[in-house]
Amino acid sequence: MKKPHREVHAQVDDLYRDHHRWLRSWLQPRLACRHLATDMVQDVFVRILTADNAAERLRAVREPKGYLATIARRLMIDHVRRARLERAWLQTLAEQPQALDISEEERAVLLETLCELDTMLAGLGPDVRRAFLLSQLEGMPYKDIAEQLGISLSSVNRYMAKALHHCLLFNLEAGLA
Amino acid sequence: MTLVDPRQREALEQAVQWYTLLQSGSAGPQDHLGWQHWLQQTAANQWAWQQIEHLQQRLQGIPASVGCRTLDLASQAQLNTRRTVIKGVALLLGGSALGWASYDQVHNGIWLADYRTRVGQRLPVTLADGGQLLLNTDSAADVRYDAQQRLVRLRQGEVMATTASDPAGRPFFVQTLHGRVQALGTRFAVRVMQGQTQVEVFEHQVRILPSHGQPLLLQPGQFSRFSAAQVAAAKPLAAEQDAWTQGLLVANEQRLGDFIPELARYRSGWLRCDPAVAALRVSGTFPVDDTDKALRAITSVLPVSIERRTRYWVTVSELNTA
Repeated sequence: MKKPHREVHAQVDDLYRDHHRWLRSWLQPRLACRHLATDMVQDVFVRILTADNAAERLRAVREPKGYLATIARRLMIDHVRRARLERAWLQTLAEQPQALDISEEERAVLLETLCELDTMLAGLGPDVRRAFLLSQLEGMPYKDIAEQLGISLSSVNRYMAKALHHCLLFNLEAGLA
Repeated sequence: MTLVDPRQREALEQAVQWYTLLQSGSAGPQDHLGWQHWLQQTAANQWAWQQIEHLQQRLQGIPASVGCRTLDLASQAQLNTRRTVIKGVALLLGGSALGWASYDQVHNGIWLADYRTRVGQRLPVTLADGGQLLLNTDSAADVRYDAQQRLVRLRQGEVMATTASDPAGRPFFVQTLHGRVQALGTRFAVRVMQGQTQVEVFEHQVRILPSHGQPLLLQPGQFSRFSAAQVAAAKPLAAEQDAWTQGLLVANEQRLGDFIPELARYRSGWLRCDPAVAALRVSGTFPVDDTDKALRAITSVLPVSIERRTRYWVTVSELNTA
Protein backbone atom coordinates (compact mmCIF):
# COMPACT_ATOMS: atom_id res chain seq x y z
CA MET A 1 0.00 0.00 0.00
CA LYS A 2 1.35 3.41 -0.78
CA LYS A 3 2.34 5.76 1.99
CA PRO A 4 0.02 8.70 2.59
CA HIS A 5 1.44 12.01 1.51
CA ARG A 6 2.59 14.56 4.12
CA GLU A 7 -0.07 17.02 2.99
CA VAL A 8 -2.74 14.35 3.47
CA HIS A 9 -1.43 13.67 6.94
CA ALA A 10 -1.80 17.30 7.92
CA GLN A 11 -5.33 17.48 6.52
CA VAL A 12 -6.39 14.29 8.25
CA ASP A 13 -4.82 15.50 11.50
CA ASP A 14 -7.04 18.58 11.35
CA LEU A 15 -10.09 16.53 10.48
CA TYR A 16 -9.37 14.14 13.31
CA ARG A 17 -8.78 16.87 15.90
CA ASP A 18 -11.93 18.77 14.98
CA HIS A 19 -14.36 15.94 14.44
CA HIS A 20 -13.38 12.57 15.89
CA ARG A 21 -15.42 13.12 19.07
CA TRP A 22 -18.40 14.13 17.02
CA LEU A 23 -17.99 11.05 14.81
CA ARG A 24 -17.83 8.74 17.81
CA SER A 25 -20.98 10.23 19.27
CA TRP A 26 -22.65 9.85 15.87
CA LEU A 27 -21.62 6.19 15.64
CA GLN A 28 -22.31 5.15 19.22
CA PRO A 29 -26.13 4.98 19.16
CA ARG A 30 -25.91 3.24 15.79
CA LEU A 31 -23.57 0.54 17.03
CA ALA A 32 -24.77 0.04 20.58
CA CYS A 33 -21.21 -0.49 21.82
CA ARG A 34 -18.65 2.08 22.85
CA HIS A 35 -15.57 0.03 21.93
CA LEU A 36 -16.93 -0.70 18.51
CA ALA A 37 -17.65 2.94 17.91
CA THR A 38 -14.06 3.80 18.87
CA ASP A 39 -12.71 1.15 16.48
CA MET A 40 -14.96 2.36 13.72
CA VAL A 41 -13.74 5.93 14.16
CA GLN A 42 -10.20 4.67 13.59
CA ASP A 43 -11.32 2.68 10.55
CA VAL A 44 -12.91 5.77 9.04
CA PHE A 45 -9.69 7.76 9.32
CA VAL A 46 -7.55 4.88 8.04
CA ARG A 47 -9.89 4.67 5.08
CA ILE A 48 -9.44 8.36 4.34
CA LEU A 49 -5.65 8.15 4.68
CA THR A 50 -5.24 5.17 2.36
CA ALA A 51 -7.73 6.16 -0.33
CA ASP A 52 -6.47 6.73 -3.88
CA ASN A 53 -6.06 10.46 -4.57
CA ALA A 54 -6.60 11.13 -0.87
CA ALA A 55 -5.29 14.69 -1.12
CA GLU A 56 -7.60 15.69 -3.95
CA ARG A 57 -10.57 14.21 -2.23
CA LEU A 58 -9.85 15.96 1.03
CA ARG A 59 -9.49 19.27 -0.74
CA ALA A 60 -12.94 18.78 -2.28
CA VAL A 61 -14.63 18.22 1.08
CA ARG A 62 -17.01 21.05 1.96
CA GLU A 63 -18.98 19.44 4.78
CA PRO A 64 -16.53 17.49 6.96
CA LYS A 65 -19.24 15.94 9.14
CA GLY A 66 -21.27 14.81 6.18
CA TYR A 67 -18.13 13.36 4.60
CA LEU A 68 -17.19 11.42 7.74
CA ALA A 69 -20.74 10.14 8.21
CA THR A 70 -20.88 8.94 4.60
CA ILE A 71 -17.68 6.96 4.99
CA ALA A 72 -18.79 5.57 8.34
CA ARG A 73 -22.11 4.47 6.88
CA ARG A 74 -20.35 2.69 4.03
CA LEU A 75 -17.98 0.99 6.42
CA MET A 76 -20.84 -0.31 8.54
CA ILE A 77 -22.57 -1.72 5.49
CA ASP A 78 -19.31 -3.23 4.19
CA HIS A 79 -18.71 -4.95 7.52
CA VAL A 80 -22.14 -6.50 7.51
CA ARG A 81 -21.81 -7.61 3.91
CA ARG A 82 -18.44 -9.15 4.60
CA ALA A 83 -19.71 -11.12 7.61
CA ARG A 84 -22.67 -12.36 5.58
CA LEU A 85 -20.47 -13.49 2.73
CA GLU A 86 -18.13 -15.32 5.09
CA ARG A 87 -21.06 -17.28 6.51
CA ALA A 88 -22.28 -18.14 3.00
CA TRP A 89 -18.74 -19.21 2.11
CA LEU A 90 -18.46 -21.57 5.10
CA GLN A 91 -21.80 -23.12 4.25
CA THR A 92 -20.72 -23.62 0.63
CA LEU A 93 -17.48 -25.28 1.69
CA ALA A 94 -19.47 -27.61 3.96
CA GLU A 95 -21.78 -28.52 1.08
CA GLN A 96 -19.01 -29.00 -1.48
CA PRO A 97 -16.16 -30.85 0.23
CA GLN A 98 -14.20 -31.00 -3.03
CA ALA A 99 -13.88 -27.23 -2.81
CA LEU A 100 -11.78 -27.78 0.33
CA ASP A 101 -9.21 -29.50 -1.82
CA ILE A 102 -7.17 -26.31 -2.22
CA SER A 103 -4.56 -24.62 -0.09
CA GLU A 104 -5.38 -22.17 2.70
CA GLU A 105 -3.83 -19.46 0.62
CA GLU A 106 -5.89 -20.22 -2.48
CA ARG A 107 -8.99 -20.27 -0.32
CA ALA A 108 -8.17 -16.88 1.19
CA VAL A 109 -7.64 -15.39 -2.26
CA LEU A 110 -10.90 -16.87 -3.54
CA LEU A 111 -12.85 -15.58 -0.54
CA GLU A 112 -11.36 -12.13 -1.08
CA THR A 113 -12.36 -12.21 -4.74
CA LEU A 114 -15.89 -13.32 -3.92
CA CYS A 115 -16.17 -10.56 -1.34
CA GLU A 116 -15.11 -8.05 -3.92
CA LEU A 117 -17.59 -9.43 -6.43
CA ASP A 118 -20.38 -9.39 -3.82
CA THR A 119 -19.64 -5.77 -3.01
CA MET A 120 -19.51 -4.95 -6.68
CA LEU A 121 -22.92 -6.54 -7.34
CA ALA A 122 -24.61 -4.89 -4.37
CA GLY A 123 -27.38 -2.63 -5.50
CA LEU A 124 -28.32 -4.72 -8.54
CA GLY A 125 -31.72 -6.42 -8.53
CA PRO A 126 -31.80 -10.18 -7.81
CA ASP A 127 -32.60 -11.15 -11.44
CA VAL A 128 -29.94 -8.86 -12.88
CA ARG A 129 -27.39 -10.26 -10.45
CA ARG A 130 -28.41 -13.86 -11.19
CA ALA A 131 -28.24 -13.37 -14.97
CA PHE A 132 -24.81 -11.82 -14.68
CA LEU A 133 -23.43 -14.63 -12.52
CA LEU A 134 -24.88 -17.36 -14.74
CA SER A 135 -23.27 -15.79 -17.76
CA GLN A 136 -19.94 -14.77 -16.24
CA LEU A 137 -19.22 -17.63 -13.82
CA GLU A 138 -21.09 -20.54 -15.39
CA GLY A 139 -20.55 -19.43 -18.97
CA MET A 140 -24.25 -20.02 -19.70
CA PRO A 141 -25.53 -18.77 -23.10
CA TYR A 142 -28.11 -15.94 -23.01
CA LYS A 143 -30.77 -18.22 -24.47
CA ASP A 144 -30.41 -20.68 -21.55
CA ILE A 145 -30.38 -17.87 -19.00
CA ALA A 146 -33.66 -16.57 -20.43
CA GLU A 147 -35.16 -20.05 -20.05
CA GLN A 148 -33.86 -20.59 -16.53
CA LEU A 149 -35.06 -17.23 -15.23
CA GLY A 150 -38.28 -17.32 -17.25
CA ILE A 151 -37.60 -13.99 -18.93
CA SER A 152 -37.25 -12.87 -22.55
CA LEU A 153 -33.98 -12.88 -24.44
CA SER A 154 -34.10 -9.10 -24.77
CA SER A 155 -34.44 -8.84 -20.98
CA VAL A 156 -31.28 -10.92 -20.59
CA ASN A 157 -29.52 -8.55 -22.96
CA ARG A 158 -30.71 -5.57 -20.98
CA TYR A 159 -29.80 -7.12 -17.63
CA MET A 160 -26.32 -8.04 -18.80
CA ALA A 161 -25.65 -4.55 -20.10
CA LYS A 162 -26.91 -3.04 -16.88
CA ALA A 163 -24.82 -5.32 -14.65
CA LEU A 164 -21.69 -4.93 -16.72
CA HIS A 165 -21.95 -1.16 -16.85
CA HIS A 166 -22.50 -1.05 -13.10
CA CYS A 167 -19.46 -3.27 -12.43
CA LEU A 168 -17.17 -1.27 -14.71
CA LEU A 169 -18.06 2.01 -13.05
CA PHE A 170 -17.78 0.43 -9.64
CA ASN A 171 -14.27 -0.80 -10.36
CA LEU A 172 -13.15 2.50 -11.76
CA GLU A 173 -14.51 4.38 -8.81
CA ALA A 174 -13.56 1.80 -6.18
CA GLY A 175 -11.56 3.40 -3.45
CA LEU A 176 -13.52 6.60 -3.76
CA ALA A 177 -14.44 7.18 -0.16
CA MET B 1 -16.35 13.25 -7.63
CA THR B 2 -15.28 10.74 -10.24
CA LEU B 3 -12.22 9.49 -12.07
CA VAL B 4 -14.13 8.83 -15.28
CA ASP B 5 -14.52 11.72 -17.68
CA PRO B 6 -17.60 12.09 -19.95
CA ARG B 7 -15.77 10.77 -23.03
CA GLN B 8 -14.70 7.67 -21.16
CA ARG B 9 -18.18 7.24 -19.77
CA GLU B 10 -19.63 7.30 -23.26
CA ALA B 11 -17.02 4.80 -24.48
CA LEU B 12 -17.86 2.50 -21.57
CA GLU B 13 -21.54 2.55 -22.50
CA GLN B 14 -20.71 1.68 -26.10
CA ALA B 15 -18.30 -1.06 -25.01
CA VAL B 16 -21.05 -2.61 -22.88
CA GLN B 17 -23.45 -2.54 -25.85
CA TRP B 18 -20.89 -4.22 -28.10
CA TYR B 19 -20.01 -6.79 -25.50
CA THR B 20 -23.61 -7.81 -24.86
CA LEU B 21 -24.30 -7.98 -28.59
CA LEU B 22 -21.26 -10.18 -29.25
CA GLN B 23 -22.10 -12.42 -26.30
CA SER B 24 -25.79 -12.71 -27.09
CA GLY B 25 -25.30 -15.48 -29.64
CA SER B 26 -27.15 -13.50 -32.29
CA ALA B 27 -24.17 -11.48 -33.59
CA GLY B 28 -23.21 -12.00 -37.24
CA PRO B 29 -19.98 -11.32 -39.16
CA GLN B 30 -21.17 -7.75 -39.83
CA ASP B 31 -21.40 -7.13 -36.09
CA HIS B 32 -17.87 -8.38 -35.56
CA LEU B 33 -16.62 -6.04 -38.26
CA GLY B 34 -18.60 -3.21 -36.71
CA TRP B 35 -17.05 -3.92 -33.34
CA GLN B 36 -13.54 -4.03 -34.82
CA HIS B 37 -14.18 -0.71 -36.47
CA TRP B 38 -15.50 0.81 -33.24
CA LEU B 39 -12.52 -0.51 -31.31
CA GLN B 40 -10.05 1.12 -33.69
CA GLN B 41 -11.82 4.48 -33.73
CA THR B 42 -10.51 6.06 -30.54
CA ALA B 43 -8.13 5.43 -27.67
CA ALA B 44 -11.07 5.86 -25.31
CA ASN B 45 -12.84 2.95 -27.00
CA GLN B 46 -9.79 0.73 -26.55
CA TRP B 47 -9.51 1.83 -22.96
CA ALA B 48 -13.18 0.99 -22.37
CA TRP B 49 -12.83 -2.44 -23.95
CA GLN B 50 -9.80 -3.10 -21.76
CA GLN B 51 -11.90 -2.38 -18.69
CA ILE B 52 -14.26 -5.17 -19.74
CA GLU B 53 -11.36 -7.54 -20.33
CA HIS B 54 -9.93 -6.80 -16.90
CA LEU B 55 -13.26 -7.53 -15.29
CA GLN B 56 -13.58 -10.77 -17.26
CA GLN B 57 -10.15 -11.88 -16.24
CA ARG B 58 -10.96 -11.24 -12.61
CA LEU B 59 -14.16 -13.27 -12.82
CA GLN B 60 -12.56 -16.15 -14.68
CA GLY B 61 -10.47 -16.98 -11.61
CA ILE B 62 -13.61 -17.99 -9.72
CA PRO B 63 -14.68 -21.65 -9.89
CA ALA B 64 -18.32 -21.57 -10.98
CA SER B 65 -19.90 -23.97 -8.50
CA VAL B 66 -18.37 -22.49 -5.34
CA GLY B 67 -18.70 -18.91 -6.55
CA CYS B 68 -22.35 -19.06 -7.58
CA ARG B 69 -23.46 -20.90 -4.47
CA THR B 70 -21.65 -18.56 -2.07
CA LEU B 71 -22.98 -15.44 -3.75
CA ASP B 72 -26.51 -16.86 -3.93
CA LEU B 73 -26.49 -17.70 -0.24
CA ALA B 74 -25.12 -14.28 0.65
CA SER B 75 -27.77 -12.63 -1.47
CA GLN B 76 -30.58 -14.66 0.16
CA ALA B 77 -29.25 -13.71 3.58
CA GLN B 78 -29.29 -10.10 2.48
CA LEU B 79 -32.95 -10.25 1.50
CA ASN B 80 -33.78 -11.78 4.87
CA THR B 81 -31.87 -9.28 6.94
CA ARG B 82 -32.13 -6.09 4.98
CA ARG B 83 -34.39 -4.49 7.55
CA THR B 84 -32.16 -5.30 10.48
CA VAL B 85 -28.84 -4.29 8.98
CA ILE B 86 -27.83 -1.61 11.39
CA LYS B 87 -29.04 -3.46 14.47
CA GLY B 88 -27.10 -6.47 13.21
CA VAL B 89 -23.82 -4.63 12.95
CA ALA B 90 -23.10 -4.93 16.64
CA LEU B 91 -23.73 -8.68 16.68
CA LEU B 92 -21.79 -9.43 13.55
CA LEU B 93 -18.80 -7.36 14.44
CA GLY B 94 -18.57 -8.73 17.95
CA GLY B 95 -16.53 -11.82 17.19
CA SER B 96 -14.61 -11.00 14.08
CA ALA B 97 -11.55 -8.92 13.44
CA LEU B 98 -12.24 -7.60 9.97
CA GLY B 99 -9.07 -5.85 8.96
CA TRP B 100 -9.07 -3.38 6.12
CA ALA B 101 -5.58 -4.19 4.99
CA SER B 102 -6.63 -7.16 2.86
CA TYR B 103 -9.64 -5.35 1.51
CA ASP B 104 -7.50 -2.42 0.50
CA GLN B 105 -4.95 -4.67 -1.15
CA VAL B 106 -7.66 -6.02 -3.38
CA HIS B 107 -8.76 -2.47 -4.09
CA ASN B 108 -5.32 -0.99 -4.49
CA GLY B 109 -6.21 0.07 -7.97
CA ILE B 110 -4.45 -2.55 -10.08
CA TRP B 111 -7.19 -2.09 -12.63
CA LEU B 112 -6.24 1.52 -12.95
CA ALA B 113 -2.56 0.89 -13.78
CA ASP B 114 -1.00 2.56 -16.84
CA TYR B 115 -0.18 -0.81 -18.39
CA ARG B 116 -1.95 -4.01 -17.64
CA THR B 117 -1.85 -7.53 -19.08
CA ARG B 118 -4.44 -10.24 -18.80
CA VAL B 119 -3.54 -13.81 -17.89
CA GLY B 120 -1.64 -15.31 -20.80
CA GLN B 121 -0.94 -11.93 -22.41
CA ARG B 122 2.38 -10.14 -22.96
CA LEU B 123 2.61 -6.46 -23.67
CA PRO B 124 5.64 -4.60 -25.10
CA VAL B 125 5.88 -0.94 -24.07
CA THR B 126 8.28 1.59 -25.57
CA LEU B 127 9.37 4.16 -23.02
CA ALA B 128 9.81 7.87 -23.65
CA ASP B 129 13.61 7.53 -23.75
CA GLY B 130 13.54 4.62 -26.22
CA GLY B 131 13.91 1.95 -23.54
CA GLN B 132 11.70 -1.14 -23.64
CA LEU B 133 9.44 -2.82 -21.15
CA LEU B 134 7.83 -6.19 -21.70
CA LEU B 135 5.01 -7.02 -19.31
CA ASN B 136 4.54 -10.72 -18.68
CA THR B 137 1.21 -12.43 -17.94
CA ASP B 138 -1.16 -10.84 -15.40
CA SER B 139 1.01 -7.83 -14.69
CA ALA B 140 0.42 -4.16 -13.97
CA ALA B 141 2.86 -1.26 -14.05
CA ASP B 142 2.90 2.52 -13.98
CA VAL B 143 5.55 4.59 -15.71
CA ARG B 144 6.52 7.88 -14.04
CA TYR B 145 9.28 9.94 -15.62
CA ASP B 146 10.12 13.27 -14.02
CA ALA B 147 13.06 15.66 -13.75
CA GLN B 148 14.86 13.54 -11.13
CA GLN B 149 14.26 9.96 -12.16
CA ARG B 150 12.79 7.42 -14.53
CA LEU B 151 10.49 5.24 -12.46
CA VAL B 152 8.55 2.09 -13.33
CA ARG B 153 6.22 1.07 -10.54
CA LEU B 154 5.52 -2.65 -10.82
CA ARG B 155 2.23 -3.25 -9.04
CA GLN B 156 2.00 -6.95 -9.79
CA GLY B 157 3.41 -9.62 -12.06
CA GLU B 158 6.65 -9.45 -13.97
CA VAL B 159 8.43 -7.09 -16.30
CA MET B 160 11.56 -7.32 -18.48
CA ALA B 161 13.31 -3.96 -18.74
CA THR B 162 15.81 -3.04 -21.45
CA THR B 163 16.98 0.43 -20.55
CA ALA B 164 18.28 3.17 -22.80
CA SER B 165 20.84 5.73 -21.71
CA ASP B 166 19.30 9.03 -20.69
CA PRO B 167 20.77 12.30 -22.03
CA ALA B 168 19.70 14.00 -18.79
CA GLY B 169 21.46 11.31 -16.76
CA ARG B 170 18.40 10.44 -14.69
CA PRO B 171 18.58 7.08 -12.89
CA PHE B 172 16.19 4.29 -13.93
CA PHE B 173 14.31 2.41 -11.19
CA VAL B 174 11.80 -0.39 -11.00
CA GLN B 175 9.92 -0.07 -7.76
CA THR B 176 7.88 -2.77 -6.02
CA LEU B 177 6.25 -3.17 -2.65
CA HIS B 178 9.62 -4.31 -1.27
CA GLY B 179 11.99 -1.68 -2.54
CA ARG B 180 13.76 -0.44 -5.67
CA VAL B 181 15.91 -1.96 -8.35
CA GLN B 182 18.29 0.45 -10.04
CA ALA B 183 19.44 -0.26 -13.59
CA LEU B 184 23.09 0.27 -14.42
CA GLY B 185 22.79 0.19 -18.23
CA THR B 186 21.16 -3.15 -18.57
CA ARG B 187 18.61 -5.84 -19.36
CA PHE B 188 16.89 -7.35 -16.35
CA ALA B 189 13.62 -8.83 -15.14
CA VAL B 190 11.72 -7.98 -11.96
CA ARG B 191 8.91 -10.12 -10.62
CA VAL B 192 6.64 -9.47 -7.65
CA MET B 193 6.04 -12.67 -5.67
CA GLN B 194 4.36 -13.52 -2.39
CA GLY B 195 6.15 -11.41 0.23
CA GLN B 196 9.21 -10.73 -1.91
CA THR B 197 10.53 -9.48 -5.23
CA GLN B 198 12.77 -11.47 -7.59
CA VAL B 199 15.40 -9.82 -9.79
CA GLU B 200 17.20 -11.55 -12.68
CA VAL B 201 20.06 -9.85 -14.51
CA PHE B 202 20.79 -10.76 -18.13
CA GLU B 203 23.16 -7.94 -19.12
CA HIS B 204 25.33 -5.53 -17.12
CA GLN B 205 24.47 -4.89 -13.51
CA VAL B 206 21.62 -3.78 -11.26
CA ARG B 207 21.59 -2.56 -7.72
CA ILE B 208 18.89 -3.85 -5.36
CA LEU B 209 17.75 -1.28 -2.80
CA PRO B 210 15.32 -2.88 -0.35
CA SER B 211 13.08 -0.44 1.54
CA HIS B 212 14.96 -0.83 4.83
CA GLY B 213 17.85 -3.26 4.29
CA GLN B 214 21.39 -3.30 2.89
CA PRO B 215 21.69 -2.85 -0.90
CA LEU B 216 23.23 -5.53 -3.14
CA LEU B 217 24.95 -5.26 -6.52
CA LEU B 218 23.81 -8.03 -8.85
CA GLN B 219 26.04 -9.24 -11.72
CA PRO B 220 24.89 -10.52 -15.13
CA GLY B 221 23.81 -14.18 -14.96
CA GLN B 222 22.73 -13.82 -11.35
CA PHE B 223 19.39 -13.61 -9.60
CA SER B 224 18.26 -12.76 -6.10
CA ARG B 225 15.12 -12.22 -4.09
CA PHE B 226 14.49 -9.46 -1.62
CA SER B 227 11.94 -8.42 0.96
CA ALA B 228 11.56 -4.91 2.34
CA ALA B 229 14.05 -5.81 5.08
CA GLN B 230 16.78 -7.81 3.33
CA VAL B 231 18.28 -9.16 0.13
CA ALA B 232 19.10 -12.87 -0.24
CA ALA B 233 22.57 -13.86 -1.50
CA ALA B 234 22.96 -13.77 -5.29
CA LYS B 235 22.66 -17.14 -7.09
CA PRO B 236 23.47 -18.21 -10.64
CA LEU B 237 20.59 -17.90 -13.07
CA ALA B 238 19.29 -21.10 -14.70
CA ALA B 239 19.62 -21.21 -18.50
CA GLU B 240 16.82 -19.59 -20.52
CA GLN B 241 15.07 -17.92 -17.60
CA ASP B 242 14.04 -15.21 -20.06
CA ALA B 243 12.40 -17.67 -22.46
CA TRP B 244 9.03 -16.22 -21.46
CA THR B 245 9.83 -13.15 -23.52
CA GLN B 246 9.62 -15.53 -26.51
CA GLY B 247 6.43 -17.16 -25.17
CA LEU B 248 8.22 -20.26 -23.88
CA LEU B 249 8.71 -21.94 -20.55
CA VAL B 250 11.85 -24.03 -20.20
CA ALA B 251 12.13 -26.77 -17.58
CA ASN B 252 15.29 -28.72 -16.84
CA GLU B 253 14.70 -31.62 -14.46
CA GLN B 254 12.28 -29.37 -12.61
CA ARG B 255 9.93 -30.75 -9.95
CA LEU B 256 6.41 -30.97 -11.33
CA GLY B 257 5.26 -29.29 -8.11
CA ASP B 258 7.37 -26.24 -9.06
CA PHE B 259 6.68 -26.36 -12.78
CA ILE B 260 2.86 -26.44 -12.66
CA PRO B 261 2.52 -23.21 -10.61
CA GLU B 262 4.79 -21.53 -13.19
CA LEU B 263 2.59 -22.77 -16.03
CA ALA B 264 -0.51 -21.75 -14.06
CA ARG B 265 0.56 -18.11 -14.26
CA TYR B 266 -0.29 -18.18 -17.95
CA ARG B 267 -3.68 -19.80 -17.61
CA SER B 268 -7.04 -18.41 -16.46
CA GLY B 269 -8.61 -20.12 -13.50
CA TRP B 270 -6.98 -22.65 -11.26
CA LEU B 271 -4.36 -25.11 -12.33
CA ARG B 272 -2.83 -27.10 -9.54
CA CYS B 273 -0.59 -30.08 -9.00
CA ASP B 274 -1.62 -32.98 -6.75
CA PRO B 275 1.08 -33.40 -4.04
CA ALA B 276 1.21 -37.13 -4.94
CA VAL B 277 2.93 -36.31 -8.25
CA ALA B 278 4.75 -33.14 -7.21
CA ALA B 279 8.12 -34.90 -6.93
CA LEU B 280 8.15 -36.13 -10.55
CA ARG B 281 10.76 -34.38 -12.73
CA VAL B 282 9.94 -32.64 -15.95
CA SER B 283 12.20 -31.37 -18.76
CA GLY B 284 11.35 -29.63 -21.99
CA THR B 285 10.28 -26.43 -23.71
CA PHE B 286 6.60 -25.56 -23.39
CA PRO B 287 4.46 -22.91 -25.11
CA VAL B 288 2.91 -20.56 -22.56
CA ASP B 289 0.38 -19.30 -25.11
CA ASP B 290 -1.21 -22.75 -25.32
CA THR B 291 -1.24 -24.21 -21.83
CA ASP B 292 -3.55 -27.05 -22.91
CA LYS B 293 -0.87 -28.17 -25.33
CA ALA B 294 1.74 -27.95 -22.57
CA LEU B 295 -0.45 -30.08 -20.31
CA ARG B 296 -0.93 -32.67 -23.05
CA ALA B 297 2.83 -32.78 -23.55
CA ILE B 298 3.29 -33.52 -19.85
CA THR B 299 0.79 -36.39 -19.87
CA SER B 300 2.67 -37.94 -22.78
CA VAL B 301 5.96 -38.17 -20.87
CA LEU B 302 4.88 -38.53 -17.20
CA PRO B 303 2.47 -40.94 -15.48
CA VAL B 304 -0.06 -38.22 -14.73
CA SER B 305 -3.59 -37.41 -15.83
CA ILE B 306 -5.34 -34.07 -16.24
CA GLU B 307 -8.54 -33.77 -14.24
CA ARG B 308 -10.91 -31.06 -15.42
CA ARG B 309 -13.57 -30.13 -12.86
CA THR B 310 -14.72 -27.13 -14.85
CA ARG B 311 -13.31 -25.00 -17.64
CA TYR B 312 -11.29 -23.06 -15.13
CA TRP B 313 -10.43 -25.70 -12.59
CA VAL B 314 -7.80 -28.23 -13.60
CA THR B 315 -5.72 -30.61 -11.50
CA VAL B 316 -2.67 -32.59 -12.56
CA SER B 317 -2.95 -35.86 -10.65
CA GLU B 318 -1.75 -39.44 -10.49
CA LEU B 319 -2.53 -41.60 -13.51
CA ASN B 320 -5.29 -43.98 -12.49
CA THR B 321 -4.15 -47.29 -13.94
CA ALA B 322 -7.02 -49.32 -12.49
